[in-house]
Amino acid sequence: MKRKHWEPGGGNKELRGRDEWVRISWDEALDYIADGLKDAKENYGNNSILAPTFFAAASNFFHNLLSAYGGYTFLEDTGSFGSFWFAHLYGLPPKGYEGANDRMDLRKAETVVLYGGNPAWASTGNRTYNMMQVKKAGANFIYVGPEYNVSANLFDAKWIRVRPGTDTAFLLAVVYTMLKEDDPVSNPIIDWDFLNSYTVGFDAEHMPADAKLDENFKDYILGKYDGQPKTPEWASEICGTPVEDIVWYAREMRKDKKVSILHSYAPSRCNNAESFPQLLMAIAAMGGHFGKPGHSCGGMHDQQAGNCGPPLVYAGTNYDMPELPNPVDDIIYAPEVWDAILEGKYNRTATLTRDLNNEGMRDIDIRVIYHVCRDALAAVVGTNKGIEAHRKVDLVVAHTLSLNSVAQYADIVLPIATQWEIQYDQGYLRQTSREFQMFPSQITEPLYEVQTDQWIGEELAKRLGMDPKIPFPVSLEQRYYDFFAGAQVINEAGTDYENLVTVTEDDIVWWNQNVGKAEGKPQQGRIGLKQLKEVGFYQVPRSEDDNYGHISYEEFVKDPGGNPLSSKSGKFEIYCQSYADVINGMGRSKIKPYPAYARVLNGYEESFSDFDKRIKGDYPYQIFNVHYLRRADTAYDNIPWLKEAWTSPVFINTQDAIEKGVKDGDTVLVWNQYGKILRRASLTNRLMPGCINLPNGAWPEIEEDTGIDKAGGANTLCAPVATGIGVSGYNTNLVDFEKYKGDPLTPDHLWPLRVINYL
Amino acid sequence: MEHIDLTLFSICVQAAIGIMIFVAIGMLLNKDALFKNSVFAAVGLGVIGMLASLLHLGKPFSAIRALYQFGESWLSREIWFTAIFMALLVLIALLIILKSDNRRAIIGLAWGAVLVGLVDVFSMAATYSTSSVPIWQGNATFVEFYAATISIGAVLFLLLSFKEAVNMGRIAALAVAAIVIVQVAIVVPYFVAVAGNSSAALHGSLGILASMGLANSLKWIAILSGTVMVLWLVKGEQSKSFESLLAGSAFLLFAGHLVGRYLFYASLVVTGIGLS
Amino acid sequence: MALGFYLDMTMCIGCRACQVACKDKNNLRVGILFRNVHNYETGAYPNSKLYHYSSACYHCTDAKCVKGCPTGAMHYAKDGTVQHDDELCIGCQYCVWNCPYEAPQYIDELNIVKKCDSCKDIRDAGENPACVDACPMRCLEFGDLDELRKKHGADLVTSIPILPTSSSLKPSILIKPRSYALELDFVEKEV
Ligand SMILES: Nc1nc2c(c(=O)[nH]1)N[C@H]1C(S)=C(S)[C@@H](COP(=O)(O)OP(=O)(O)OC[C@H]3O[C@@H](n4cnc5c(=O)[nH]c(N)nc54)[C@H](O)[C@@H]3O)O[C@H]1N2
Ligand SMILES: Nc1nc2c(c(=O)[nH]1)N[C@H]1C(S)=C(S)[C@@H](COP(=O)(O)OP(=O)(O)OC[C@H]3O[C@@H](n4cnc5c(=O)[nH]c(N)nc54)[C@H](O)[C@@H]3O)O[C@H]1N2
Ligand code: SF4
Ligand code: SF4
Ligand code: SF4
Ligand code: SF4
Ligand code: SF4
Ligand SMILES: [Mo]
Repeated sequence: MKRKHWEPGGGNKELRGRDEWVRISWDEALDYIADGLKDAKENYGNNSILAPTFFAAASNFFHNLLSAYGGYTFLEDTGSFGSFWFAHLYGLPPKGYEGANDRMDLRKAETVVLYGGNPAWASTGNRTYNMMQVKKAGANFIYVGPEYNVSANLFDAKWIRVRPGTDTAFLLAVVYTMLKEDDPVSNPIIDWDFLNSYTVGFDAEHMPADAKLDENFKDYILGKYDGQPKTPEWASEICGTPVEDIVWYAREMRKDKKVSILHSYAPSRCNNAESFPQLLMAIAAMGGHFGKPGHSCGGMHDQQAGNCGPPLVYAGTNYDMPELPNPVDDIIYAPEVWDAILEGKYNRTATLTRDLNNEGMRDIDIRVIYHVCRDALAAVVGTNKGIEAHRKVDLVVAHTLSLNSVAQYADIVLPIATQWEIQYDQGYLRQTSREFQMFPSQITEPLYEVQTDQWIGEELAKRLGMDPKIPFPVSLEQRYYDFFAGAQVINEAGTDYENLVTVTEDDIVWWNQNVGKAEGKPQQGRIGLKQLKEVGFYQVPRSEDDNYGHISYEEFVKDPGGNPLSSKSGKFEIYCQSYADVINGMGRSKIKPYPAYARVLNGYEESFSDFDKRIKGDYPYQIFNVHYLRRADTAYDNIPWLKEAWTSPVFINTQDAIEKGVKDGDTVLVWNQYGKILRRASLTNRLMPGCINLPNGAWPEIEEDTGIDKAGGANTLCAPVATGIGVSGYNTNLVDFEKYKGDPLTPDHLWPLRVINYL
Repeated sequence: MEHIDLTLFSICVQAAIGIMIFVAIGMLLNKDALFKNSVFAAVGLGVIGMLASLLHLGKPFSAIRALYQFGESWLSREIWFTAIFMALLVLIALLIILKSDNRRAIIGLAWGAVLVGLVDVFSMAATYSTSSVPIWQGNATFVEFYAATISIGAVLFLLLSFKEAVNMGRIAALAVAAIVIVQVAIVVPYFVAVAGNSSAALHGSLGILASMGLANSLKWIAILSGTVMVLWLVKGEQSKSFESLLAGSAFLLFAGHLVGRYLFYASLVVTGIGLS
Repeated sequence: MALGFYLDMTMCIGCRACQVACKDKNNLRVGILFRNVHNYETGAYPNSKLYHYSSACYHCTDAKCVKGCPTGAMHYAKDGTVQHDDELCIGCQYCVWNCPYEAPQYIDELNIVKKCDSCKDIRDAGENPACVDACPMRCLEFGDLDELRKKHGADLVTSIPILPTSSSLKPSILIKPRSYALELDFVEKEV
């Protein structure tokens, strides 16, 4: 469909988001888009085409199409992982992903720390069930974060209160306490052997060879460089954690306790959080909590929450679809992208996915925004600025499953088949857990006129004068077959993979007749092709004494020289020169090569106009976003049953609310300089005073006259600014709130569906 | 006006029953009187009430099924007694039209209707007071229902048949006064006691009533002033404005109880999860 | 040996998979819930706790809805569960006022009441109720209460403070409570 007042060149651009829609044919739509791309390329260069999506995976339609057509400007977003990008530089796995032990080993832990993290909401399925088995096996749980969330509550965790974005201060004081209280003889807390053998940079005696700065972590903690020992009293003023809790936590990290520290990425999705991952690592190392049964420190993210380790079964990958190189090297970080469009320039820094070159300011003239597989208006910081940027360019295209925000503000909207309507290797369903793989089938005929991203790509390729085989050498049908036939499963001994599926000549004939056109060869495996297609999943059974357990860093700990980590020194770098060099070269904010405190942009201290005198500023409340059970990021937020089940309120500390005369269920206005939202208030005693929790992912519903977002889109309030790596700092923002004086909100599930009624 | 159907049903049927009480007494005390107007009015009220009750049902045309569970269900019993009462009432009306000389039968049927009617009012009150709506569970429900029956019945009877009803003015007026005293004596303390209860559902009900405080005041003002008027009237039965004052009193009592009954239904809060 | 639900509150995360699975099974529009998950907060900051309670029909052995129903639409099935006969129901809503647990729901479009039927059709086919199988924490079960009691130990209760005192109905329910679900300072919360 097409926006009524769009015409080549943009038409009335101001009407984006509030125009009427007209239904057009696929041919017409594809012609418009092809012309728009040609126009952009010829007149402004390939880098005038922006495609804001995550990761240039080969299966993504736009990447290969646009790369084959000469390239496009890429949107880089730290997204889920925040400041954990570049963690490999100091020795963690890439993005700090994985790194903990598997679920059976976790049951051996005595203490489990949920550092941030809310698996009951953010890792739905059986992760929480599995973690509950750890609790039942006797472990004590600790939860660190600003709200005593559903998971902490389930595990009866001890709540260590830490304000959003202040984890660095908290953890520095933990290190200080460990150092102060440690006595190798009478009170052994720190595992000095571990520090000495497996880390560099902790103290002056163990500096890495490439260190340029004559400073070390331990002396920093003791206050040698800035005159401020990182005491619990110092930290408590910033992070809000009671001093005795900091001390308690430090003691709990002791080396003779089996501690597993499982972190989410919420604390790293903050401004100026570049030191946090390295610091978490340093503390785990101080307690020697790496590479041993019951000890671990690693990610607790989506499918691997509480269950790390290589997959025991995985679907066939379609790596035979080559990822074409993108000839354009313009890469803009998400918080800076809308400004880049509006102002025509941006800071080209080291990137997450391509190169580490810091190139400084560059001119850019974005003419086309091409949305695929992402709702960049709802999910990228600075929704209002994003809308402004959308209203500037010549053409906005959105491939979409539903009338989400990017579709709302687009010129041409292309309806895409959902994974239920076609047979192909659905990206999201690839990721389930290490023990379980789904093999989904089409469950309904395509509805109305939907098409796949790849079909559109092939059609556009033709119109752009390319052979569709160049961007898309493999058909969807072949990819779907490979998804099954290429599946691998761990062998009995846990040492290698073998084919999961048995394929006979007959099977291939059957597949071609009943499923889709594909080439294949007979092979031997565990389960017949037809049977797997029928059952739809494969699960590797587990038991505590099987061969499938996993202890991260086990090899490294056995033989650090033979199995070096990814850092330059091959060890955990508590001082990491290469990391500091990359970040400092980006020019956004400066860091030390070791974990150190930095004042946080839009953090707690900035909620005061004068922090020393404790005078509150214009936006005195900290706001952060949890990932919410009503939706998967922005997806599914249009489903009335789910809206009924999950009301998506804004959570406010009970005392804070009472002071403002706000009661449960009242409609409140929350605002800052970037936007205004409305939500019903849910008062809670499980949230730190001064903090507001607005669930992430709602589709903005911005009233044109008031500018109020009635849906409470998280990024309506998130500042489009970045520090350090260019982190999207969702959890460090400042707002004020009050009881709304206008009409109260009707519950979301009674709102009209977001569908188009054509004229 | 969500509860208007049941409000009309219960008030009209109770008014009809109340009228018949005084008709029956009047027939004993007055040799020839048949109180045609009152009987016909009772029929009319009963029919309006029964029709209104159908509006409440999701499936009004299947209402007959409500008779299936006399043995178990107070609601079923209520329907039974209402139906029998109405049948007797219609029979009385027919006799009055067709065979008005058969006075014995008429009087017998009238007393039969009164008995069935009184049981019916009891069934109605039991229907509500045994439900899981805490505000309905006290004796107040019974008192309110009988009070409506008697006071509306008395004034309507007087209004419609005062010319035939020699001697009845005093009886009816005293009956109204007595039942209103009972009503005040039981209902007011009930609500005072309820306010001290911890049930969230009860407090939900009280909250609704508080939000309709004006209507609640009107109910009591109307009932009390209607009562005072009827008492004052019987003192001076011959006065010129007697008829219009009586009409005023009937209006006040009817309206007071109507509003009261509406509030009764409006305050419906069932116990529930978290509302115990 | 009544049939009924078992809820392990110590495992429940309030995810509402049961609630939505029930809507799916029974194809219920927004506003009608045969199973409804509630959340309550107790205690003061920073020691406040949250608990969830998933509630449907209790298939009471002395069911007030059955007793009050004027038509007999509400009735006991052979297995003792309380069932509703859509054909008999006249939509008088008396069961809605009689049930202390919000189980029967009046559905405007159908002009009758409906409620949880314990998924009798799929149970008769040898499977679990939809809500039970949807629960990712495996904390919801349906079955013979004596057996459930045997399986889940002694510290089970049949009521907690958020539930109406209605022992006279003999609700068929077993609950493994969270300790703080026995406190009286609960406040219902949206989460
Ligand atoms: N303020 C704030 N913002 C945040 C976050 C936060 O916590 N706070 N969280 C961030 C995080 S961690 C993430 S991961 C991002 C996620 O944000 P996004 O990357 O935008 O991801 P989704 O919300 O899943 O949106 C994916 C879109 O792709 C569509 N889609 C699904 N399948 C297909 C397909 O096959 N083809 C096409 N064309 N479209 C498809 C879906 O309908 C949906 O509209 O949001 C980030 N934004
Ligand atoms: N149901 C559902 N599941 C999801 C998603 C979804 O949208 N819905 N999104 C998926 C995606 S893309 C992602 S990235 C993951 C996210 O998964 P998580 O990062 O685990 O989830 P969050 O809800 O963002 O944050 C978890 C907890 O971190 C705490 N927290 C917030 N800020 C801070 C902080 O500064 N410091 C500390 N210590 N704690 C903090 C919050 O209290 C919150 O309870 O979830 C995935 N799973
Ligand atoms: S939950 Fe199951 S039945 Fe429902 S749509 Fe998904 S796959 Fe189909
Ligand atoms: S819970 Fe309610 S509807 Fe269910 S059997 Fe008991 S009284 Fe009847
Ligand atoms: S609504 Fe139906 S089931 Fe309920 S009491 Fe009335 S007739 Fe019985
Ligand atoms: S048993 Fe069936 S009808 Fe009852 S709550 Fe569960 S899913 Fe719903
Ligand atoms: S599905 Fe299970 S865990 Fe989720 S709310 Fe229902 S009972 Fe609780
Ligand atoms: Mo994410």
